[in-house]
Amino acid sequence: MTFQQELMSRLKARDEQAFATLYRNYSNAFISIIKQIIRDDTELAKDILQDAMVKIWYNIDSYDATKGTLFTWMMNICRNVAIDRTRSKDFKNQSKNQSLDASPESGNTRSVQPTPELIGVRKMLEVLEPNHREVVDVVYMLGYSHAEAAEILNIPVGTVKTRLRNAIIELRKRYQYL
Amino acid sequence: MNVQELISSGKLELYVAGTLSDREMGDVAASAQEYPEIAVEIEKIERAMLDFLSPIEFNMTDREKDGQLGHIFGKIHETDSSRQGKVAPMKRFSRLAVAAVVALLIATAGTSIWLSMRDANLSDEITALRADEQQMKLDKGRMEDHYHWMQEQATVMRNILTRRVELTAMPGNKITAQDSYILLYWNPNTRKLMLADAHLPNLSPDQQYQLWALYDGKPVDAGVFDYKNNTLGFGFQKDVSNAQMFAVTVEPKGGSASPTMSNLCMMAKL
Repeated sequence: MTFQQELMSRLKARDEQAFATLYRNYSNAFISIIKQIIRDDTELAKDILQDAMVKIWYNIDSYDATKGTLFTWMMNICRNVAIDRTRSKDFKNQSKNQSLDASPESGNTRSVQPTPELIGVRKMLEVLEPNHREVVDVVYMLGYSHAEAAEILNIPVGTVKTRLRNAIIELRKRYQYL
Repeated sequence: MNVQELISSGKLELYVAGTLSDREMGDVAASAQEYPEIAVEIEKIERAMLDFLSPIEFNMTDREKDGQLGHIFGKIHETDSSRQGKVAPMKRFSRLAVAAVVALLIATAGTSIWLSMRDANLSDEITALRADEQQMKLDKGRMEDHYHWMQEQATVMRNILTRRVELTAMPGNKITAQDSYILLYWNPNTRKLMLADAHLPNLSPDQQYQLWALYDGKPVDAGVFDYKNNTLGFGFQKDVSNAQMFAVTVEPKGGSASPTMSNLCMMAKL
C-alpha cells in the first residue's frame, strides 16, 4: 500500500489525524496555487485553503483514484474554491482597489503578467528557467489545459507539453527526484 | 504508446497538474496501475512539484499549520453540528419513516403470511367442514333410511295380520348353532316380509345367507342378506305372496337360483 493509498483509506474513515497529515504535507503547495489565483494575498489564501479543506473533508468519498492522484484531486478543489472566491462580490470589491486588470472576470485575464502582488510566487517561480516559468504557472498554478495554455502563451500545444516536461525535469533535478 | 513513450510525452506532467481530459486522466491512471515505472514517475513529478510549490521563503510553520488545522476542524465540527441540528429532525423523521416503512413491511409481510396461513387454515377448515357436511348428509340419509325402514317395520308389525316368524337352527347342520335365530315379520296380505333380527355365525366374504319361502314344496327366492358381527344388513324387505315355510341356506355371494340343500341351516314352519 502506497503512502497515498493508506492515507486515502484513513481519510475515508474520517480520521482527523490523517487529515492533519494531509494538510501538513500539502498546505504550503496549495497556498502557493491559491495565492497565484487570488493574487498573492497570503491570509486570504489560508482562509480559502480552510474552505477547500472542509470541502475535501466532506467530499473525500467522491475522490476516484482511477481518475487521478489525491494530490491532483485536492489541487483541483483548491483551484476551484479559489476561483469561486475571486468571483464573489467581496473579492471583486476588494480587488477594485488593487488592480482592475487582475480581475479574473475579464476573459483570460487570470494574467500571468507580473504584478506587484505576485512577488512571493514570482520569487518561487524564479527557480525555473524563464520559458519554463510561464508554462508551470499557467498549467500548474492556474490549472489551464495544455490547449488553453498554448493559446494563452501563444505557443504550439506540443511545445507546451515539451516545456512543461522539461520544467518538471528541471525541478526534479533541483529537488532530487530523478 | 509504450511506457517510455508515455513517460517522455509530457502527459504525466499534465496528469499531475490535473489538466488532461477526463478520458486521458483515466488512461494515465490505468497505466499507472499497470506499470509501476509510470506510478513511480508520477510520484516523482508530484514530489518535485510539491517541493517547488512549497518554497521555504513563505512556508507556514508547523505551529501555524496547527493553528490553521484548528480553524479547519472548527469549521468541520460547526458544519457537522449545524447539519445535525438541521438534519436531526430530518434524520429523526427519516428514521421514523424508515421505521414506519420497516414496520409496514413487517406488518404487510406478517399480514400476508398470516393471511396465507389463515387462508391455508381456512381452506383446511373448509375442506374439513365439507367433509363433515358430506358425512352429515350421509348420516342424515342413513338416519332417514333407517327411520323409514323402522316406520315401515312398525307399520308391518303393527298390522294385526302380520305374522312374527322365528327361524331356528336346523338340527344337525354344521353352520348354525342352537342359539342361532332369525326373526322376521311377514304379512301375507300385503306380502311384505322384513328381517327384524338375527343371531348367526359370520360367513366368509364370498358367502351370503339366502332366504327362501317354501310354497307347495317349491323354494322361492326371498333374497340374500348380510349378517356380520351380530348385525343384520338393514332394510331387508321383500314381497313374498305365499309361504308355508321359511328356510335359510348359505350360498355363494349374490345368491343362487335354487337352494343348496346341504347348506340348509335355519327353518321356520308357519
